[in-house]
Amino acid sequence: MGTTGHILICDDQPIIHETIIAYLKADGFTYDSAFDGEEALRKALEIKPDLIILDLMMPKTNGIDVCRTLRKTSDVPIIMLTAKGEEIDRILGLELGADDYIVKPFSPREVVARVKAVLRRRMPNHLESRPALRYDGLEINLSAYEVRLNGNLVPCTPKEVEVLYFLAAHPGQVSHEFHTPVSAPRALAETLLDDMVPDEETKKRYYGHMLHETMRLSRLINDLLMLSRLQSGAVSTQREAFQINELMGSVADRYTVLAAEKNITFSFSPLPAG
Amino acid sequence: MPNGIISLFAYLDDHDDHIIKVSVSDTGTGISPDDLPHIFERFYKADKAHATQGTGLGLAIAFEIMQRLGEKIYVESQEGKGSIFTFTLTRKPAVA
Repeated sequence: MGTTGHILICDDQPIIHETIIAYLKADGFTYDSAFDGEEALRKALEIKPDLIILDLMMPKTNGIDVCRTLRKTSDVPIIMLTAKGEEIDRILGLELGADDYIVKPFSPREVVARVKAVLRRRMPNHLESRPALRYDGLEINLSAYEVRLNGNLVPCTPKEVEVLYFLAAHPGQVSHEFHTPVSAPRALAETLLDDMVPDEETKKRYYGHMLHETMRLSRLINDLLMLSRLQSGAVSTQREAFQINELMGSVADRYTVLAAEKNITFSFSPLPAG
Repeated sequence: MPNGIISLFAYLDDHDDHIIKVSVSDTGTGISPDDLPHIFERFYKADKAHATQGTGLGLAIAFEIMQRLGEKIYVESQEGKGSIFTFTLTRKPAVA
């Protein structure tokens, strides 16, 4: 199995996410997005990604500070995105413990190549630290990306291995809500494996559908983890002073773009002064 | 013509100006009175036709967060017209 993993992309421009994501997806990576420094920090700690792509200039907390804070507790691989002319920041980023940097404007292909290179370099203490899970005749080995049933290799996509690993590691949380998103990729995988697909076009559609469903499952897992952490008190909610109109403005900016894609008008009225 | 309008707006509560209300309204399909009491529940999906879109947990997470903060989150809706989701934020003096 080649290099793969879960990537956290931190940049305030949605379009940067879209291009990087397209290429990450093409190479079998899963991902999460953060659009400002605070979200980046929070998600980095919550999701524990295999690698973080971190933009230097972000609202709220900049990339340098995010990197510095993360390095206190984590050795997660970090690739910095810097704009031309941020030479000093670039050096600072590497000194603060970033693993690599990429100068904007970049080619998304280059980003994925660097992601793979950094992950390969870090492999020894990367995925291999996670123990294989065993249940009766089933063995799920995340470091080798292998699933074996009674010693026989079961063909699985990397994402299917990850999902299986999660489900097996959290048996108490498996509800019927998982069965729907799991059943589609499973049925499609079997159909493809048994050569039951009439033509290439259908095959492609099936792969797309499997990808879609596994991504949904990964979102479901993230949400469920978030909810269970909230309910168990593992994530605390603290009051904090903030500028409401500033925050709403940045939310509005992001959603205006998303809404426009669906030809929906997004309007924003800040809190009146006083 | 746009497909619809989504509005994000903040305003002070009519009776207590320590309470800020933040609302998001849409001009969508609305939520039926039968579904309305349940939509903050886990995995509850009113619109079965579009049930594959989300994870069914977003509102449950939002509800949990607001409850922990001692704030309110609620929805008003009219079928065929749209919905308004609102949460409250209570202004408190800054603690030094």
